[in-house]
Amino acid sequence: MRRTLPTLLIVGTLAVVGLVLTPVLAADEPVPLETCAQCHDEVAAAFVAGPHGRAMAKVSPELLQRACETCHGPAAKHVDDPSPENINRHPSSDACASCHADRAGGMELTTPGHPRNDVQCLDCHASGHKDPGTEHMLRLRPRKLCGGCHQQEAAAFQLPYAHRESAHKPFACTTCHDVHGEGERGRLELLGNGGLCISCHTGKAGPFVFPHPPREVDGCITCHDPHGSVNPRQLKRHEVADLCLECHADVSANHNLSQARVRACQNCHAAIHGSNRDPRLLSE
Amino acid sequence: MTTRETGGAARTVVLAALAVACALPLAAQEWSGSAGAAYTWQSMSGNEESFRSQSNLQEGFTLEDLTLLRKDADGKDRFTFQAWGFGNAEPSQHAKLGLELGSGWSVAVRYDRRESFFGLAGGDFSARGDDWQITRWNGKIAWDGWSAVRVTLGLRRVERGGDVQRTFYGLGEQYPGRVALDETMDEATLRLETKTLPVHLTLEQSVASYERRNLWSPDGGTNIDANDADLLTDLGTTYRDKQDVPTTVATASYASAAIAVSARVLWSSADLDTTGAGWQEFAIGGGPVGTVRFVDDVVSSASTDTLAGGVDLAVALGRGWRVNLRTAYRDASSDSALLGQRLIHVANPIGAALDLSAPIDNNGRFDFTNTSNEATLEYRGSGWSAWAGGLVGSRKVSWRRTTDDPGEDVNRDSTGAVAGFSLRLADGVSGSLEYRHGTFEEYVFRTDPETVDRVTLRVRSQLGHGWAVSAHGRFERGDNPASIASLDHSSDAGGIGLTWSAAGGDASFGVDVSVLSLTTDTGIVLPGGGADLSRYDLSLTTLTAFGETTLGKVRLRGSVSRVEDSGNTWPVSSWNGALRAGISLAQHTEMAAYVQHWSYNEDRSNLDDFKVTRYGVALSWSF
Repeated sequence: MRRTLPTLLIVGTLAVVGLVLTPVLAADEPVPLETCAQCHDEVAAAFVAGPHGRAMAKVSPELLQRACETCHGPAAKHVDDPSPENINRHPSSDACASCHADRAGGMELTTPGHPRNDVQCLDCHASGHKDPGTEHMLRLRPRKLCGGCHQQEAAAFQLPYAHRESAHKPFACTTCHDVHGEGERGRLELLGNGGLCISCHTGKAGPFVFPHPPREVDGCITCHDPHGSVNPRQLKRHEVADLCLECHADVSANHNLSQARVRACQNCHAAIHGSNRDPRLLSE
Repeated sequence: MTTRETGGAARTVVLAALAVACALPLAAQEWSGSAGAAYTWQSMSGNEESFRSQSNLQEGFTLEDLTLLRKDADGKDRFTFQAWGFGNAEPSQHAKLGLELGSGWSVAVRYDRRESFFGLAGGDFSARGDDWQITRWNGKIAWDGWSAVRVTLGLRRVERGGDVQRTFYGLGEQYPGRVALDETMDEATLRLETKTLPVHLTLEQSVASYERRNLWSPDGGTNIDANDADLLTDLGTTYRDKQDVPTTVATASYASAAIAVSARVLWSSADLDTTGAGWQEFAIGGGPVGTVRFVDDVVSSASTDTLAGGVDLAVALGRGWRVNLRTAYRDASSDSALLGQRLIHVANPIGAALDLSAPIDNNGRFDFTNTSNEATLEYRGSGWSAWAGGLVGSRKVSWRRTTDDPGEDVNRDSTGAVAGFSLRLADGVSGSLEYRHGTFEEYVFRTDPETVDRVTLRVRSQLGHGWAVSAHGRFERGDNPASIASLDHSSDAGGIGLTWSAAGGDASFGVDVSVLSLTTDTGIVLPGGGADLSRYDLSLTTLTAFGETTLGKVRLRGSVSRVEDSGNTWPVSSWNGALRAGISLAQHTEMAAYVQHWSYNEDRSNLDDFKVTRYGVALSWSF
């Protein structure tokens, strides 16, 4: 008897909720894309031909038919009385998350600065009403898009020595960073010690018999600026000796630092990233 | 200067893509695409190799774009192909191919090739030269035909070949030599990813194999200062380094309106084995005195086991309150061994010889454990949010390079705090201010800053009519005690950017000014025992402007960038700019002319200065 009462309460509550919701659902009959296209013909045609429409079509034709309401919300009232007041013209990120649920949480976890600053999906991604011509439907190419807020990093790519595919084509930020928390960003954290860098710079892969400890502990960025630098090799110091001596303060007396060739530490200690034969890193 | 090997690779990639495209069923499909090519002339003064070290551009042909897209009648992409860069003028070649084969099968192949050049006349790298190529193949075969799981097989191959010029140390001198690169990496990855479970799971197993078989040879024989009578007469190696790295990565993530959680773990066990010998031979006094030959006849091995993981959790507590928890752990444990002998063979001109050998039996280790935990409490109000939190971490590093090395063992604990505030007003103005502070008391390296304070400020505003302005500032201070390195680090950065975009998106303009002032003082001990200071002083101003618009049938696009470092360490200034004008000749066809300019000037030397002007024409067509 003790179990019967709660069960009845739950069933009763659900029945009441169902009765309340039923007329609302009936009033909001789904409005297919074809109906919207009767007025918004250019927008609908561009959406279907664009990357968002094509991606939806790839999942199912039914999903594409529901496309307008998925983002802009129930449209039955708007069909009866076309007005900007009774349709959601500027969907929030919640609309995107209704399909891309796996992406919504990642932002909170890996780049909490974005949600804290109210960066919404549509701040970075195009809606798909036309083809922006970028990967992942970004509003701009990543270097300009991210550079709008991360100006210091964007400026670094203008420096003489920088990660560029071509003279006027800096690496896309998304080559190394994944703001949604899967893929490269996750790998960057997990692999540590420059693991992401090594996915391209495979010649620097370890393990080494004689590793260079700073690289093992803090990775490539101990000595290199990953975005760009005024110094050759994207080093953090212009003089190699400055970089090395800041840790190796106890240089033996046979290093005459007044000689330029001695100040170029890497001339002798060529295996600076690690050696398999020499503890002094003189040979690979 | 080398002639770029472009024709063969370009033909192979393009023809392979077209062959695959044509093999697809023809019924009810449509093609679209674009193609563009350019020829660039180049005039320059100054050090061309310095210019190539920065951009590696040259005169010649470039494929600006080749895009092919084939769609089904129902709008599904069946075939995509994109390529750019093939030609003498660009250092890069890129191509990617995507195929939808039906029944959930898809194939993606990416090809990248880059030529790297490095050759400076001045500075610390004047004895170093690079002229090598790296080629990367990346393929993925995915099966998405099962509603529950997506399966992906990834295959990667990386090849690096070419030459490096560098110095080799011997007999107290530096001798120029060459390294012929022969490096490869092969990797296969199987990835499983759930699609319908409430918890998103991925499991990735990869096996990578690296191999280096680089060969040495002497380059001239005299030492780099040309002031020593001893000559390097032989330099060589049969070294072969091979690494096998199996890696397992698993992730789990779940997100709802109330909670988001992500957990990940990585396990990797990497093994290295090396074989072969390396040798140097010198003619003492040029030969009349005799020869000495050094031989390293050693084998080595190393293994590293890595366990890394972390959990991130974000919980909405209700009424705008949230809590974020992050924890990360990484443990890497390495053991190494070096076994063999070092030989010295001394011979005089009349044939008498002496052999000396020293056995090598060395063991080393490198162990590293890192943990970090961060908790942040956050309140999100209407148009604003505030957060504050703390972090604790630990780092244990222990290593011993050689059997006789007493080694280093460092355990340290760190703490920190963070607080921030962000605001988003209805009229499009938003901003944030964050303060971070961190500290610890034990040092792994003497240049570790004991305390770091950082303040970051960002402001953005949508001014309306397509205009937006943003500004940022970052102030950072770090130091450690005089007994360690007397480190004093200060970094101040700021900038302001203004952009405008036309409503239709066919015109835009932007200008950005960024400044960075960085000064680091580190106490050093000179070889004679005296104290000195290593100071790095950077005062960098970067100005960038870009714009594009259409005037009738003419499409204009331009950018200009000015970099000036007026810091005391090594002041430099540079300009670069580009202007391109394209005119529609007919439907879907455009011809363009462009000019690009670079200048680079070092205040204290003109060895690596240059001025380069490039100009060219381009033709593009789309269908």
